[in-house]
Amino acid sequence: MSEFTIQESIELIPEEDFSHKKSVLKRKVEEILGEDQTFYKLANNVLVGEDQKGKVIDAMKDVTTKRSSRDTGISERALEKIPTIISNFSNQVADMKTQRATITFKEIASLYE
Amino acid sequence: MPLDKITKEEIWMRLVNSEYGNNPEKMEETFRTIYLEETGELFEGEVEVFHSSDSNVTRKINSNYDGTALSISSGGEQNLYVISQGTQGMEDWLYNIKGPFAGIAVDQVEAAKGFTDDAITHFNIDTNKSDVISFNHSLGLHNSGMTALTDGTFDEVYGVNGLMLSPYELAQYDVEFAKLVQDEFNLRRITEIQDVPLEDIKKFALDYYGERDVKIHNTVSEDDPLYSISEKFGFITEFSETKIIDTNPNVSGLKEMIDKIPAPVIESLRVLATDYAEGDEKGGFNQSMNQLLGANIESLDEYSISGAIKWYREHPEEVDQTISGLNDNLPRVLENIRLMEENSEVIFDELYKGGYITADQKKVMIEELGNLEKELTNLQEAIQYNVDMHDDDGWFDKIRRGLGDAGLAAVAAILYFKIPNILDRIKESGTLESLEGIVDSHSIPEMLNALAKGNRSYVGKDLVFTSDAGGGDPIKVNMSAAMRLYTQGVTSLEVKQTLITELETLVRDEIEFAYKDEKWKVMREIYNVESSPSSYAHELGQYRFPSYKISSVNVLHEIYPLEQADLDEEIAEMKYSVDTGFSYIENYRKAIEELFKEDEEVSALFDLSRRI
Repeated sequence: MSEFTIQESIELIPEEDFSHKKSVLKRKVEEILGEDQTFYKLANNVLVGEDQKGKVIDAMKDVTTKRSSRDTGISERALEKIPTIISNFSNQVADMKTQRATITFKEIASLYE
Repeated sequence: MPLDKITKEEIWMRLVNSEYGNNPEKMEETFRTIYLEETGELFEGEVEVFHSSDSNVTRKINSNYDGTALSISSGGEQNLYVISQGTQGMEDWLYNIKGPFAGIAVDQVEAAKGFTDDAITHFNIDTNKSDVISFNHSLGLHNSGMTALTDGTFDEVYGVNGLMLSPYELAQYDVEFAKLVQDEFNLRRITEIQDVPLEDIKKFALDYYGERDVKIHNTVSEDDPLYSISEKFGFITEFSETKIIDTNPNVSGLKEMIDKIPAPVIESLRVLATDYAEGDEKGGFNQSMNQLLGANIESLDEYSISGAIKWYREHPEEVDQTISGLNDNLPRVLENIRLMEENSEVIFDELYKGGYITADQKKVMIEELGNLEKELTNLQEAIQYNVDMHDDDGWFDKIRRGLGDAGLAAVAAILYFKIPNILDRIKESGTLESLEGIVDSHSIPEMLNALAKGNRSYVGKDLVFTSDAGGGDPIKVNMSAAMRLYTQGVTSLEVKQTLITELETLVRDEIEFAYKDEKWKVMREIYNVESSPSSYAHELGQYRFPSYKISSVNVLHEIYPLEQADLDEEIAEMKYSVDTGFSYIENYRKAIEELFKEDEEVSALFDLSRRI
C-alpha cells in the first residue's frame, strides 16, 4: 500500500469583505457626537456674550469647555479607532479561515487491494 | 386669574415673537415656558393649539396669512387667543404695498377673519362666554384690526409696532362703508376715493367706526419706521390706544424726522406704490414696471442683443408699445421722482443727523437721486422726439432714414443701462444696509428690552437676568437657556445614554458575535473536510497527484480569541461622561443660583421648569 502525507495551509472558507461594518459603527458614534453638540449648545447659550468674566463665570466656562472637549475627544478617538478594529477583525477572521492541515494521499491501486 | 395675566405685555409680545418660525406642536410648551418665566408661576390650565396651515378656510383664501390660535382654559374660564404674524418675506412685503398702503388687496384681512371663525368652531368656543383676543405684530395688527373693527371678530386686539388701518382699504373691505363714502363724496366708482382729500375721508371713517365696541391697543417704538410714516400715509392711528416707547435712545425719533419731510413727498411715494401694486395685482413684477413706467422690461432684452436699429426693424410692435407706454406714464413718475429729488437734501440730511446714514452715504443718495431725475428727464425728451416724428409721417420711415435711431437708442440705453447703473451705485454705497438699523426698531425684542424692568432683559426669544454678584462686571445669564439646559439637557443625556447602549450592542453584534459566527462556520467546515475529504478533493489539490486520492485530512484547529477589536475603553468613558453630566447640570444650576442668591425666583424657576 502506497501513501504519503503533506502539510499545507488550506482555505476553508473564502475571504469576505467586512468594510461595511465601519460605516455602521461610525454612524452611531456620529449620532453620539451630534447629541453632545446639542447638549453643549444648550450650555453655551446660557452665558450671554463670549467676553463675560468673573470667578463664577470662569469656573462655569472652564468646566463646560473641558467637558465638551473631552466628550468630543472620546467620540473622535472612537471614530479613528473603528477602521483599525474592523481591520483587526477582518484579519483575524481571514487567519481563522485558513488552517494548517495534514493531508494523507493513498495510491489509487492500493485502494482496491 | 391666570387668564388675565396672558395679556401682560411681556407675555403676549413674547408669544407673538416666539410664534415666528415656531413649530405649532411646540407652541403649547412655548406658552407654558413664557408664562412661567414672566409670572414665576406654573400655568396649570389647558392649552390647545390650532395653526392656520391646518385651517381649510385659510388654505382656500391662499393669502400667505400666518397665524396660530390658542384655546386656553383655567378655573372654568376659556378664552381664544389668535396670534397673527407680521410681514415675512417678499410675498408679505408686496401685500403691504397692495393692501394697507394702496388699499387694493384685502385677502389677508379675509384670512384673519376666516381663520378666527374656523378656530372658534374648531375649539367649540361660546363667544358669549369667552373672549376672543388677538395678539399681533406689524401687518398682523392691520389685518386683525380691520376685521375687528368691521366684522367684530375680536373683543380686544393687541399689537406691537402694529400697522394701523387705512380708510382706503376699509372702503375696499367694508361694502357698507364704501356705499356711504360714495354717497357722501359723490363718487361714481369707489376707486375715485383716491381723489378724496385724506383729511376728509379720515374724518368720515372716524365718525363711522368711532362707536364700535372693540379695543385696539398698539404699543409702538418711537423709532419704528412703520409708525413714523403711518399718519402721513393716511393710516388712522386714532382707532387704537397707542403707547409710544423710545426703544432706541441712540438715535433721534424717526417720526420727528419724517414729519419734517413735506407731505407732498410722502403722497408721491403713495402714488408710486399704488401704481406698482395695481400692476402687480394684474400680473407680477414685469406688469408692475409696465404699469409704473409703461415700458415692457422683457422686450429690452431684444434691444441689448440686437442694438436699437435692429430692435426696431425686427420688433417694431415692441418698440411702438414701449415708446407710447412711456409717453403716457413717464410724466407722472417723473413728477413724483422730481418732488423727491427736490427734497432729497431734507430727507437724507435728517437721516444723517439722526445717525442712520453716514455723510458719504448722504452724498451718494443725493447725487444719485439727482442723476435718476436727470435720466428720467432725458428719457422723456427722447420719447417726445420719437413720438413727434411718429406724429408727422410715421416714425418707422424716419428711423429707416436714420433720423430717429439716435432717439430710440437713447430711450433704450437709459432704460437698459443708465437707470440700473444708478440703482447699482445706490446699492454699492451701503445705504440700504445702514438703514437696516431702522428695521431693528420694528422688531419685538427691541420693544421688550425697552419695556423690561429691574435686572431683566431679552435676547432673541429668550429672557436674560443680569447679576452683580459675579466678582467683576455685571453678568448676563440667559435664564431661558439655563432652564432649557436644566430640562432638555437631562433629556439629551438620556438620549446619549440610549445611543451608547446601541453602540455597545452594535459592537457586540458586528464584532464579538460576528467573530463567534465566523468561528462556528470554520469549525463546521473543518468537520466537513475531515469527515468527508473526498468531497473536497479538488479544493485540497488531489489533481496534483493523478495516481493518488485523498484518504484523510487532519486540520490543526488554530483558532485564537479575538483581540484588539473593541471600543470598550471609549464606551466606558462615554458612560462616565453621561453619569457626571447629570451632576454637571445640577452644579450649573447651583452656580446660577449663587449668582442670583438674592433672587428666590431663580430657584423656583428651575424647580417649576421640570414640571412643564
